[in-house]
Amino acid sequence: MSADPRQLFNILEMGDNSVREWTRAFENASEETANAGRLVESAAEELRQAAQTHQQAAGDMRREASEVRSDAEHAETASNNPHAQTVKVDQLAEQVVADAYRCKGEWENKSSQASAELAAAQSELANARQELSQARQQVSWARERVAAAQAEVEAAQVPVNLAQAQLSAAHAVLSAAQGRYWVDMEGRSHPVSTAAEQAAVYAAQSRYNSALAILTQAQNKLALARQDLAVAEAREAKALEWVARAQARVDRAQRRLQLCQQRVARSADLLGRASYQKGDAVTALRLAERAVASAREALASAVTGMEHAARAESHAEAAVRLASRTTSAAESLTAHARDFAQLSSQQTEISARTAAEFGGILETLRSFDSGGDL
Amino acid sequence: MQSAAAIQDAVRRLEEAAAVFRLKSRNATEEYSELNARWTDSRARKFTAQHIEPQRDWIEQGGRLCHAHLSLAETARAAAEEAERELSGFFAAQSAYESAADSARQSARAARDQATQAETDSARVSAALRSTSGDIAATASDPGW
Repeated sequence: MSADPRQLFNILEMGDNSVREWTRAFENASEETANAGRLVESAAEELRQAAQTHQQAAGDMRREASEVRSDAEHAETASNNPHAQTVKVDQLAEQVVADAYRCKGEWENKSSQASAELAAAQSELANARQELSQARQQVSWARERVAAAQAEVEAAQVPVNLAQAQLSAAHAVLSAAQGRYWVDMEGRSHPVSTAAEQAAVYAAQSRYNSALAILTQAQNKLALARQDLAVAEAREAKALEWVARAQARVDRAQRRLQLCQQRVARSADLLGRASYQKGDAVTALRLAERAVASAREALASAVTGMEHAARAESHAEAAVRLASRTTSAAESLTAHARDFAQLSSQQTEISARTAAEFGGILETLRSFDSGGDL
Repeated sequence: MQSAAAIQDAVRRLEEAAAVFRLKSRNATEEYSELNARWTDSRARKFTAQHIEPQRDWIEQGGRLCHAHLSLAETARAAAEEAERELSGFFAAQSAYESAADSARQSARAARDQATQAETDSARVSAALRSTSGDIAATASDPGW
């Protein structure tokens, strides 16, 4: 011993304490390392299991996302056919509305024409009736004139007959007178003078001629009246035919107008029906368009879903890799903890021996210095 | 998932233990040096060779191991933390996927229902239009005057 025993005692005691303390620190560090190794291993295992579970879930998600996309594609296909069909129906509805509109327009035009024709026919009928009325008036007048002329003829016939009878009588008297002779003194026969008879004949003839002239004049008048009547009757017959024709035209025009009006009303009804059906077709088309839009939305969402599923899978794979890295670090830590524990154990052993050695030396030093002051 | 937090806690305790280890081992080294400086007889040399020198190796090895432990624990913590972030990302993606898939299913179902209804309506309207078209043709025909 080169140092002062008291100082040496203090130093050795300090060394003894130091060995004990750092050995405890070693043991504590070893224990904490072992604990940490176990804890990290446990956490790493928990992470690994979770990551694997999620990796599996991500795989399921990817498959499910594919199914969802396939379903959305089917929905898109299923919505395309009705859309094409509704487009055709909408076009058909457009055509039918146009047909109904055109049909109504055509019948309205025809109805106008029929109205005009009816007005013209009615006007013609009125004209024909007026003509008939005038013709009948003319016939009536002609008949009156014929009757008057007839009366005149009949009236003129009487004087003629009378004059004729007087003339015949005068002739008879004259003839009788002309057959008579008177015998003169000489015995010669001499016709008697018939001058008076002749004068009577002349006078009778004259009266007869006058009466006959009047009769002839009356007969001429009658003939003229009859001609006028024939003309008037012909006019009446023509007027009757005209009235019949005009009436037929009016009837035809009325029938036509009635038909046109019925067709206009029917066309208007059909136009209303077609317009209503066009509305239904547009509604069906809008529905089909919504179906197509929904299918596209479904497809877009399915694609987005696939991207999310892929991202989830990528995250899960990364988590598996990182959990594996954690596990690897945990295993290394555990291995190191074992080495550390072995060192700690060796330190504990040597610490015990060192402490015993220190104890012995300190005991010796206490004996060396009588122990009283130590 | 609290793995990273648990590992972080272990790292903290490990750091504390390593700090105590480093402090105590440094104290022990200093005190052994002082002991060697003051206790220099033959027994001291024998004592040092037998008891102190092995401990110096273990102090060094222990220090290296503590450093390695911390490094490994830190690696494990960082990996666990990253893994948990990835799992959070997974959950977010899963939630977004479920929302998108629900939306896709709902839209696909709506598309099919609407398409079926449109098809039915379209067939009905088509038949009605054909009937109307026939009536229009009949109405349009003109028997004349």
